Amino acid sequence: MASAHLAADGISALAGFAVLMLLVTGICLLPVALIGAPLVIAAAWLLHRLAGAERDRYATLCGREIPAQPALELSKNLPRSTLTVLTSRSTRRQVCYFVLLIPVSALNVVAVALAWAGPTMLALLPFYYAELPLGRAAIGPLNIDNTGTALAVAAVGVLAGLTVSPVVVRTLRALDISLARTLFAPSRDTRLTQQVAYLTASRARVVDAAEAERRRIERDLHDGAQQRLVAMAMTLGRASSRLRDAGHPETVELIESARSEARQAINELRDLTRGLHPPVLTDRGLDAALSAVAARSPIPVTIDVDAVPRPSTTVEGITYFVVSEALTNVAKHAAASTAWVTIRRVDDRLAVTIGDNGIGGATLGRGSGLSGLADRVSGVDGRLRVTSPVGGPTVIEVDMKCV
Amino acid sequence: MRVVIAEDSTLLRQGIVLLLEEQGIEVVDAVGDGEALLRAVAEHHPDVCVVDVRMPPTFVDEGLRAALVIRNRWPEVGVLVLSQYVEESYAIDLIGNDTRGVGYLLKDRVSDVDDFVDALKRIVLGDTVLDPEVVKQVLARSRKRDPLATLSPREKDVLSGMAEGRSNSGIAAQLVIGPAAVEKHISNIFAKFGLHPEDGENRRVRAVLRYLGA
Repeated sequence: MASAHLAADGISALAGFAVLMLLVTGICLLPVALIGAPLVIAAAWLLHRLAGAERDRYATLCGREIPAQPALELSKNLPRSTLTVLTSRSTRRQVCYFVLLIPVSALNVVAVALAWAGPTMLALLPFYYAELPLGRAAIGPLNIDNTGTALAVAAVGVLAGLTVSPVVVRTLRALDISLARTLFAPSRDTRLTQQVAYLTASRARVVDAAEAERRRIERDLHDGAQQRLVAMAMTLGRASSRLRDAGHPETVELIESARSEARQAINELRDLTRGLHPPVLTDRGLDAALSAVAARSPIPVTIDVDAVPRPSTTVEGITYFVVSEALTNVAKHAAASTAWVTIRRVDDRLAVTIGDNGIGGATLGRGSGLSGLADRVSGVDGRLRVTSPVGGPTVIEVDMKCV
Repeated sequence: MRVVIAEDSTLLRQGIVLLLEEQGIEVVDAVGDGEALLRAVAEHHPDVCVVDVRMPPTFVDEGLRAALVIRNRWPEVGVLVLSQYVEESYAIDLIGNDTRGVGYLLKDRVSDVDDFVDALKRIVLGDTVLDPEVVKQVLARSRKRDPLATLSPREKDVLSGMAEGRSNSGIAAQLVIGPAAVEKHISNIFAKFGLHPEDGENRRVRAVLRYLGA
């Protein structure tokens, strides 16, 4: 296996050499009105594919998995893509590998040939000797002039073929593998970058899933329990109306009290689902949803929203939650007579500010309602800052990425 | 009175049909989505239709959009929109510039049979019926708006009665004051909103619209 791998080095080296030539040609042609640019990009692509093939070869013939390098992200812009290719660390490392592979593969091919052909030839020496007309042969200073010596040399050959050759081949293979590992595996920086990208993506998925779950719960309650309660209240209403016509005042009273309980339950359920993710938010966005929140607030609230284009559903959900919770806090603790909310979209960021003219003294400490809000915001890489000197006013600023 | 009902929950749809039929009201069709509602209105030409806001396939404001189409295409057909939530932005859209024959109520108001039937009748007569919750929302919001801020609390009560679609005597009964006092409050409201007598009967509608911020 190892020998097959080393022998294949030659083929890889030839292919690598061809692609390198293409790359060099491309680079040489670059000054001429960027004619070489497509060649450079094609060469980089081929290099990447060759590197992939090499990785497969190491995996199947040597049993060594070499982590993949990230593929280059190319734009439609030709000069920029060319620059990306030429400055990319992975391209540089691939070039290095294939350049080094040329001498290394030559050495490997020769070494493998010697390691296997040498002992084989020595092992065949007695037959050769038997055929010699002169009865003697020479290998360097060694003079073979009798069958005993020939047999001894053959024995050394077999021994070498069985013990030394595999060692030589394995050593060379190890060298080969370390060359590939050094130049093909992503660098520490790249690995960390990959890890951060992976973690960021997985956290975004978790936050999105949580928001989707809130919407699902709202929908389930709306389509299930709420509808049933409304239907029940309606049936009670019909019963009450019939009994009134038939003249059973005491029973009507009972049914009316049951109906009022049902209404209460409906109201509580409504408030609960509204806190989760109100349909008007999905439907009309932050302005409409927060206007309704402001309208329900016991103190006057001015809402000023300019968030076009609309942020992602998740960011909208979190913003709605943060603003409505913050306004609830203001009403409960701030002793304020007025509050205001501004939401501005600047490029891909959303700036949310909630202020009041209350007594201040709000903290972001552990266990406070505000730290819960800060946690929600940090789920989308956002920051929440509280300015609240004793005596007021309190201002909460939130900054989030829109997508 | 001939009614078309659009409600996707079978349970509620059947319930409303039974409730209305018990009250001697003819339900000509009961459907489950916005498209079917438009077809039913085109076919039966009812006096009024009862529409749920959230219906398939979008489950957001399908019913409200169908209601707007009906208001445009068949202005003589009354529309009562029922919703799990009342949101002023929906109410403002629904009413637009024409308060005639339109209503917007919380869904569970249906359980108060007399009020519900009464609301339908008023809509058929061309009145506006708004849920007290919507009125409350608008009232809370309007505290920061200008002409409304100048109204006295009593005048606000009267105006919210008007927005709910009550007549002068209805408002008088609700607030336990005399009809003359109601008229006095209303003329004060008109004055504060700068609505003049030559505007005629429209003043009432205009005042309500101003109140809704439309």
